[in-house]
Amino acid sequence: MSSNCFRFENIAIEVESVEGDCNVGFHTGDRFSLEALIPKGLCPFLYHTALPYLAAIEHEALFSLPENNFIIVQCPNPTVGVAAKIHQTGKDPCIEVVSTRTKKSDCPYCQFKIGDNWLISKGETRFCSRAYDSLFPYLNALSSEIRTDGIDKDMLAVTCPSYPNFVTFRVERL
Amino acid sequence: MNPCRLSSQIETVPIVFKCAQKNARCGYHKKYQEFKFSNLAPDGMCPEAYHNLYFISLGILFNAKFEKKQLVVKCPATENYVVFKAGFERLNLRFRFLNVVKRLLCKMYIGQIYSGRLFWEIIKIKGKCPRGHEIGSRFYINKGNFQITPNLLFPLGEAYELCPALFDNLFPYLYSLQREKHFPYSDNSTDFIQCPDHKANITLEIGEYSE
Repeated sequence: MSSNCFRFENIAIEVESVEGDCNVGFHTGDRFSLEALIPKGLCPFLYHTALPYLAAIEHEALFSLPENNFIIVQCPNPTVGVAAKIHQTGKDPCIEVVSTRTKKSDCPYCQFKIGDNWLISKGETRFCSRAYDSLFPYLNALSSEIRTDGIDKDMLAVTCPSYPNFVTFRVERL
Repeated sequence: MNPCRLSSQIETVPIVFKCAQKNARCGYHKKYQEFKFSNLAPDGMCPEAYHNLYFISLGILFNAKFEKKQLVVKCPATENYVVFKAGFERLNLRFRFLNVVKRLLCKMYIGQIYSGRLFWEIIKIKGKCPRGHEIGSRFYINKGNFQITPNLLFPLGEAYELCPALFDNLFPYLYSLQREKHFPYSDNSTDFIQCPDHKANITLEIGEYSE
């Protein structure tokens, strides 16, 4: 993963509208930088991969033995291959780096060490993880536009997956 | 811009995904198997919606206890959109037979034993869906195929498609793949993406489709 994968500073996410009540508390006009969406220091790619597993384990999914319930997931980049254990720590789902079979790479997250961990539901990020999962492909699409100096698609409107109450986000380059 | 338009643009790109690496048991993929864009999601299903559905589907397949309202999922489109609801169908004979085999081999083969067939049913369509989805249509997530050897799978009577977990990993990068001809993390060499399973380590190589 190169340091140019995402140009975080060039994208903003704004809540365009809220249909009904939002459990997370989003309000029309709320604005977020990409850094606010992801637990501090965690790779956005690995976070996206881990999200369904985090949601599952938070809701009592059983991946292995009940007394030691966990699953290991890995980042999508085969040349980096950071693996992380998804498990519960108290009431919070946790991502913990368990393998950094990292080859030579300029990935900015290569400095992960075994044992690095992030508790997800307690204030690591105030952004809704389900909404982040929905937004992620479009953040990447817009990021790609920026990298290639595309000029035709400066703005995308995307909703979170909840229904009947849902939030519409506007994703735009700054 | 509506997100639906992104995947409709990608579908015309002559890309093929080839399973270049497989390190452990996987019921979805044979080594060197190729997938075109049309094989990525369940037949006829919108990839944008499928990506949203997977977030909850994974947990359901592992017996997570979601609230009822979490089992209703909307596609990401804004003005015109489709709403899905999760449900379970009784297993067909092939699935039940496979469950018997899995139970017999449980010490050698640790796999999921499904009690029902997870489906997502369309319960609402607002406006016009460019995919032509219709209320009442059902889409199945767990294929449940069984691996006999790395290149011999026991299918349950359904078309091969990409593993949903690998689809979920791949989908966010498809648009940039079309635009930049490589993944955001690659260095313009051969392009690969791997599945979330640390053991199976299914790795897709991206190539150009030729026929």
